[in-house]
Amino acid sequence: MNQEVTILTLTSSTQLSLVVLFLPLLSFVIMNLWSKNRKLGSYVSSGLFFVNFIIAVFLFITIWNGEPEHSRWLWFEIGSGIQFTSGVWLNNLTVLLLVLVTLVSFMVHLFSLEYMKDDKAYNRYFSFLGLFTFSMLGIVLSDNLLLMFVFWELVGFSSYLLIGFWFHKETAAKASKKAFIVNRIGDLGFLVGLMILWSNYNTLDLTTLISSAEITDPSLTLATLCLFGGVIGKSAQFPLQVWLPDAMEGPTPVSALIHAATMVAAGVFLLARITPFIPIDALHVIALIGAITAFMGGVAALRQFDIKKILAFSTISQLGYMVMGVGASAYDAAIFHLITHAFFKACLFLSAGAIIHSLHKFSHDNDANFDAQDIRLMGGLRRSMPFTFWVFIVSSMALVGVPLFSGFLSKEAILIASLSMTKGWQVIVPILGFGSVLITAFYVMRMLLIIFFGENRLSNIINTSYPSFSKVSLLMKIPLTLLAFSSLFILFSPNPFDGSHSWIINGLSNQLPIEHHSVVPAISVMLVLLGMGLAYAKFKPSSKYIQQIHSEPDYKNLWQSLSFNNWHLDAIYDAVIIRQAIRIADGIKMIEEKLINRFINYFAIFNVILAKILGLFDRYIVDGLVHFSAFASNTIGWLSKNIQSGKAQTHIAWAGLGILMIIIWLIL
Amino acid sequence: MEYASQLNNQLQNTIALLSGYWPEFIIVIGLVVTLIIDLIFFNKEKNSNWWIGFVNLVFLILAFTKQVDVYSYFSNLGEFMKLVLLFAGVLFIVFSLTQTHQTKKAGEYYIIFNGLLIGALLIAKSTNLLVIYLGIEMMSISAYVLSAFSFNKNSAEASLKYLLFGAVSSAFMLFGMSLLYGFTQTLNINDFELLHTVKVIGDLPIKLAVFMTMFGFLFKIAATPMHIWSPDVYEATPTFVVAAFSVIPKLAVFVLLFNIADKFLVFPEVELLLQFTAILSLTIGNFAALWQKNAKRMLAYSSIAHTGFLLIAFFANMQSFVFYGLVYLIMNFAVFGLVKVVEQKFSITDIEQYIGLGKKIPLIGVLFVVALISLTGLPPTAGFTAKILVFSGIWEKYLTNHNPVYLSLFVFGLFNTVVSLFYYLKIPYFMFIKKSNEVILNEHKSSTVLTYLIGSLVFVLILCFFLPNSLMDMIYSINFAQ
Amino acid sequence: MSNETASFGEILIYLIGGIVFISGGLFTAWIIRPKRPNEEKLTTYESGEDPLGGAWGQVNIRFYVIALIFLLFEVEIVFLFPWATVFGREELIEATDGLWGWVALSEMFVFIFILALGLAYAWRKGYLEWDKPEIKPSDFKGPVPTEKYNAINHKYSKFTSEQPKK
Repeated sequence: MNQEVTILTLTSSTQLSLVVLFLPLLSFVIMNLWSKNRKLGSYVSSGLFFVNFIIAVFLFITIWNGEPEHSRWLWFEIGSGIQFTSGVWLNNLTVLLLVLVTLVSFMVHLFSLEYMKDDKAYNRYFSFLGLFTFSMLGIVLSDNLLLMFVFWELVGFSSYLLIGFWFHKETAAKASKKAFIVNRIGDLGFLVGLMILWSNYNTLDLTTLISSAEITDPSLTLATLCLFGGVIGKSAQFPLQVWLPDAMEGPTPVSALIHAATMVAAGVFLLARITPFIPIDALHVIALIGAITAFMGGVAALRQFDIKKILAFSTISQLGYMVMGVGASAYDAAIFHLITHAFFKACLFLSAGAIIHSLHKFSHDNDANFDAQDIRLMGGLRRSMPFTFWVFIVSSMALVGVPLFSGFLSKEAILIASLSMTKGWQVIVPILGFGSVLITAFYVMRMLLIIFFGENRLSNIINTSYPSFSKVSLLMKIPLTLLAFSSLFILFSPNPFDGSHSWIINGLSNQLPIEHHSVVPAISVMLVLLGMGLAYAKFKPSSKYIQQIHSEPDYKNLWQSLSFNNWHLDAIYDAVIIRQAIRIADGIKMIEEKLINRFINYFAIFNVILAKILGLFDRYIVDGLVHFSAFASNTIGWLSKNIQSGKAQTHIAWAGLGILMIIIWLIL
Repeated sequence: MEYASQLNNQLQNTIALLSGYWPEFIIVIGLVVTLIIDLIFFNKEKNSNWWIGFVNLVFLILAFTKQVDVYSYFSNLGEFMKLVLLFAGVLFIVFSLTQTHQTKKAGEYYIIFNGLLIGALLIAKSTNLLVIYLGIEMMSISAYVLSAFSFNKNSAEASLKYLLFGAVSSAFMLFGMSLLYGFTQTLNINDFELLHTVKVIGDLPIKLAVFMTMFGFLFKIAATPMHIWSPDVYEATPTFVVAAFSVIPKLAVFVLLFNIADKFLVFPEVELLLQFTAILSLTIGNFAALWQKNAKRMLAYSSIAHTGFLLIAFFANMQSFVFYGLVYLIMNFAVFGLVKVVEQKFSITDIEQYIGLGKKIPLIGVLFVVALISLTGLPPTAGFTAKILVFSGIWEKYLTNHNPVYLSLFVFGLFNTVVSLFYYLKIPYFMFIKKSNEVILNEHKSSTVLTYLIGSLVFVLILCFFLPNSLMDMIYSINFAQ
Repeated sequence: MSNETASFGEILIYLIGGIVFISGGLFTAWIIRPKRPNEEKLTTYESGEDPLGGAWGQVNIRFYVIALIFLLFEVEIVFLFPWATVFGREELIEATDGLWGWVALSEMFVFIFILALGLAYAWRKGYLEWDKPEIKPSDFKGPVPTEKYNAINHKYSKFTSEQPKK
């Protein structure tokens, strides 16, 4: 039972990583205290994030492909000998994510400086960003599952704060609640997994678990699947993906942060961390769930009209890819996709934010009241917002997986890995994977065509000449440019058609590099072309559909309804779970009211009666005694009436009487 | 010249022992320096609070560090409690420093508080009846004056009542002490050969004398039947002073009780008196608190009840007593600080006026809830840990000696904990749950530093629940041998 | 113990003697004095002043401050006398190599210093100043002229009403 915990001292790198961890927290504190000066505070906090990014890069250079560094210290002790440690574990995976998180956070900060400029709760926004980044970095750095769980919950909490940032909007408040609750369901699994692991191995330390866990242990399958439950919640996998589309109610930069680099990435990161001891059966389940999610997310994206919702469903779909990658024993490819996805999706969200920002401003300036996120009202933005257009094109091509872009490299790696699953039912995994490629190409092309091409359709609903939108400001352009550049192949692999020799995969995998496959890219490129072609045929600017699109209803038939409502998952959960739960709760409430409350009421009544009795005792007996003593002393006559009536004297007399009584008791 | 040479030795001894009194010396020097500064630099209308308070703080911290040395040398309970008392003094001065607008007679405020502190330190250390009397009087007279520092009619009245009551109990105590001197021919309690004298004089007079002396002590810890002064005084006195009142004299006198226990508590009647007092204080304090409308008055009764708990802890074991005392110190400073913040912001102290404040000042509301939960003794606060220690201690005591009095202490303690829940939660109830019909209150500025200070105290309360180890280690390092 | 009782007995005899002498004197005077009371005789003796109000009347609080400070210096003197007798004892100083003198001297200096400081403080802070309340003349003008009041007062005052009878 008592296995001695080895304490590993801090090294300079781990110390530095703690600095990286706590700088965002410092930003949180500063922004809370510095509530007076809006501008200066936010610039200081952005500066802190820049410094943070630089340190992260420095750490990356020191650690990448070098010796992993691990520091560990005693956290707390329960009873005797049951020791919990906490610590920092820096290896390739950690530093990679460290750079990613700090970079995207910094970009989002820069973007938000402009985007949130006119918001009342500007400081609150930046302080929450700090808290959120802090929690995410905590997940990345921690060396054991318990500590990770703590930060995991913190991420959940701070995302709740950020999604519900505009809490005066009812939808936002509801969305934040939904995200929080759905995540808790997954976390229940996480917690149970932790318990199983602890009871089997007496440790939650990752390095110890990796070295000591026996992969054949059946309880391990259960434990890892429970941990995967947490991943399902956080990374929005089937069946808990319902919270993510609603979470679009937060400010758009927040969506970029949550859906690109941090919160949803946490799940995949956890999987990558524990992947050395996931048994093969569990891996299959994980791959299956991932493939289903990829497909369902893609389908749900097909018929959305809210620009952010399209991106949200595409995120779900891409997360499905990553989880599928881990399930297919290629966590390196999954992380690769995580990185590339982080960049292009952040770019997509931020440019969507730029579009919404301009449209919103336009509606505000012209007193026109329309939904700034509805793509049915866009169109032709290519001319009025050329910069955003190009950035958007680059990042969408990466999302689709067109050669020369980063998404192509990472997606191919996952697809190749998925081909290893061909036995029996497992074949469904690659089929869904490839199917999703087609769907992705289709909905992305649809989105591009509707938003950027053709004529602007705003004039259809409001009486205005051709609208001119405000320019995207420099503060917004910088992050967009950087992120768009990162969506090109050049950053990740010298060979634009072969991702298997990318430095990320080389750095992460400890096995043989994935074999280069030429058939898979060919198939997928064909699928992409097919999808885009189909979409073009349907949504080209001159088509009849586009001419009528401004008056298009949300859905017209069963299939469209299925896609628009995300497979009716919300309705199903409502009918199957929520209503039943409410029914049970009502029953319990009855018991509580009838039984427990009554008991408590009686107890309270008893107490009150007792207090009343004591009060009476106080009033009649005690005060009576006081009065009696006053009366007695009056008759004896050594106190005049004048002195007697004062309050202080009665007090003293009463105390004296108490003393007298005690002394009498002593003598008797 | 036998006497003269003896005198030489005595003098040498005394001078050698003086180094153990550095903390007291420093405070006396601080007092005099404060007096001189106030005398020379500040006259009448100038705002002297910050400067004088700061000088005092420096001296107190100096005294505290010296006391750490002294404690590491002696490491007995008295020296440890002196550390605690000095800590309470530092807290008091830091709290008072946040009151920037307090201009009236700031110099005297700090000087008199120093007097109170010296009295407490003397009591905690001494086993000589004369010094004990001097210490108690020093503490009491300072307290009488401090309780008039609200400078209004109520305050003056309360101060006078306090003085009268104090004078009466001092008379009792002095009478008891004089009898003891008469019986034993010495003022040094360690030289008391009570068992020897009992044969000559008889049992009863000695017990009477001890009882009389005890009443004086009970007055300072506000235990029944000598508690009656406290509600009036607490209500009218400046809030920080009340925080100091409710902690410093109590802890000092408890140490005194511990120091003289092996000479005084050998009589079963005296022990029974204290136990009886514990039960009475608990019951009367808690039930009277149920009916209070004023927050400070309610807390006064709650502090009477806590005296009862401290007495129970005193009988359970000294470790739990020290823990309870420390936690009690922190809780009380936190709660009275919060009362002060509300008082300053909205100038209200009635509990019913707290209605709806939870939404207006959520941070303070939450701090209030935690601090009051701790006073009640519920998790996750240190108050819970303290109560657990006390109750388990008294239960073990009962199991070893099967004295039914211990059982009744245990039962009354538990019962009263439940009762106390009702009135402590009245404040959160009014702040958060009760619907307000929008009473508009004028909001004034209050010190944010103070709020953060209280926040850190409350944080300590929660921390001590989760990590009591370091505190317990400290307590176990005390040598409780007498 | 019996010794002490005996020495206390001497004091007791003094006490009893004192009581007997005083009460005896008063008693004899009571027996032999002539009893012709009048109002003047029955008033309390206040050094020639007419007494105003009852004995339970309130006294100005400022008296207490002065009295307190006076008392402090009384106590100082009370301490100084016995101290002076012990301080100067040559054999003690010799036996302790001068230490005794230094200790006693410094103790007394600290004592006097603090007392003096207290006096200075009270002085400087103005607690010794006897600030008289400013009496504002009332601007009330009644319908009855002042002379009538004076006449009534004169008429019913005890001296004037008694004098005509003589």
